[in-house]
Amino acid sequence: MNQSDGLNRFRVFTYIVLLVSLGAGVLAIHFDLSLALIPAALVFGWSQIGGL
Amino acid sequence: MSAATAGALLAVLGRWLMGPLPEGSRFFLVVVFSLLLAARELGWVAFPLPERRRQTEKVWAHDFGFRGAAIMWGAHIGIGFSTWVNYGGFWAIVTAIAAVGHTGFGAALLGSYWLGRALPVWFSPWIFPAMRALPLRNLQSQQLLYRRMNAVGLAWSAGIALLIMPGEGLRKMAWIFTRACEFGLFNTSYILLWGLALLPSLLLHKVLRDIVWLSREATRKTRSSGLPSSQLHRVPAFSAPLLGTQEVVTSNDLNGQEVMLMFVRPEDGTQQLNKQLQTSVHALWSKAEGRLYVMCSGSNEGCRELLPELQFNCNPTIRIPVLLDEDDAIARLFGVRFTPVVFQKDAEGRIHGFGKQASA
Repeated sequence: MNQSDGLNRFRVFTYIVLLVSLGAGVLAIHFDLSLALIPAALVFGWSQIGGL
Repeated sequence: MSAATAGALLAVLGRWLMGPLPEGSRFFLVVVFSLLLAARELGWVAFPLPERRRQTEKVWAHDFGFRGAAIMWGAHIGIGFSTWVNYGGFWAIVTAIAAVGHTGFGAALLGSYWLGRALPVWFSPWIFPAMRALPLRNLQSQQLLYRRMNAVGLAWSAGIALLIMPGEGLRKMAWIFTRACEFGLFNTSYILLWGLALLPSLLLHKVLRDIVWLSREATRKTRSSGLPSSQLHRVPAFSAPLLGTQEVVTSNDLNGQEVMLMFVRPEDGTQQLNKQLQTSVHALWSKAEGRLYVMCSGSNEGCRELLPELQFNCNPTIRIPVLLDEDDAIARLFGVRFTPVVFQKDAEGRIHGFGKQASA
């Protein structure tokens, strides 16, 4: 695997994290609204890797 | 643990600071702030965010071993405010924690943020199988994706904060509309006028920053390549300690051999320097047939941070000697103003090559 493939693979993982988090957020709304912010926090944390 | 503690403390602070405000106003603040940050991530507005311009210390791996360093890195990142935070999502979390003012919620939210930061590192061996060097640092090329990801998260946070606001949906909108109307035409026009003044100011600020950056880059390039080799024919006498040992290397030790001496100065921009070292130091080492010395002008700690960039992943036994020039005296002897620069010395002690690292 070369670097470009690795980066593309990471991009796909990022999309998966985003979609799973949004799904978890929608699910959390049914239990407690404030819980729906937790997946957003996870997304913020994950995306910080792109700013290093 | 550090993230949970920081989140809980933030909630206590938020309760104390924002407690006197009505609940509706607190969440309204989160909505407005999140939307503003989302606009920033999309590039519609530009403003700096408070951040500590440093990253976790790589030198901890050297000082405490990888296990100890991993714990320390985790704890350091968990504090949240202690490292670079380029994107606005973090500050939306901070505002939300302060607005809710519940310690458990604060701990959970900042803990999730920490988990989000740790996950890419945990997953990376699985995402990048059979790669010796993990390209996590090269993800900057995908910055747009992460900015948009933040914008989505911020819009989501704004929507959730709007829903958390006390009252039903229509009542909330009515509350916001009423508050806006209470301002009156004069106040609204006044705020809009400030908005009109603010937008060109932000634009002008960005333009000026870009001009200053361009000007500095131009000066830097002119100066770093402007040292004529005729000013310095021979290697001046010097002695410098070998980083991480008690050994001292002098200019006499280099007599009778062709060597390359690369000057680096962490002060000149560690991030950029790390990238340059990553890309060309190994090629330089091969070109010098192993006789490459790095002269680091700066503090012991700052220079130690560069050591991982000077290691060979394929052969850890190869070590490039790093000499410490703490008071910058040797760099001055060589007339070095900006780094990285490389001097090529022949067996007679004459300098017959000089240039920027990339071109050497």
